[in-house]
Amino acid sequence: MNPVAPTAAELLRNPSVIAALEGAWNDSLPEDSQQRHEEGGWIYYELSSGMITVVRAAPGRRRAINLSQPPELAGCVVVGKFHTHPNPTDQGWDPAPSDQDELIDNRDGVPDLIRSDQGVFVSGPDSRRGGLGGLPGFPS
Amino acid sequence: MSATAHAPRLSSVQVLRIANEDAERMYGDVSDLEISIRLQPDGWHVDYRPANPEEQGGGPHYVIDPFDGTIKSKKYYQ
Repeated sequence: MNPVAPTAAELLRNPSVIAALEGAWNDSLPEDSQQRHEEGGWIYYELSSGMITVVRAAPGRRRAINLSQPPELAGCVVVGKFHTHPNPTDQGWDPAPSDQDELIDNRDGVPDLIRSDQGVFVSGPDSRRGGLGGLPGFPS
Repeated sequence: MSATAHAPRLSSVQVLRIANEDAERMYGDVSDLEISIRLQPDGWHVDYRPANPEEQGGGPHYVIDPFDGTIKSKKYYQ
């Protein structure tokens, strides 16, 4: 049986993940109605040390981002991903995961932490499907 | 008998025009979104979602009155 991967709640307590979420949020320019866009990336677990590392993805667009190709890091597996929903709730935007977010996150098999102006939502499984074994990228 | 019982039902083309007008106002360019439309008991459901299956994101979802074209509910997903 594979070792258990960190849960979304555990990732959300990790200082590197917290910093990455806030950095991505700020880089999304949520206050700029013309330039706001989605940012995100992947969360890695180093098998030898248990250390968490974060890698940022290329910036997305106003209401979309592509996180389908996590780069491989030696000795690490992907245990999560994250992205932002920078469009403001008070202007009618829904901060929660979209149907497509849920679909992709459940397919990819790692929790997705989504930072919005209403806080952080989690989409997909609670932890990497199948534990820390399997492929270094997404487990499926 | 209610007035709407005799009102002609809006076509899918007319409903799409209503939805698209609102979608473009909110999202700007929606040419990268695919659209599904179907008539349900509570009205026309018009859902936009990213055409690229690898792209995380969202589009607007509407329920539109089939007789007068009023947008009964809408969600702006991102």
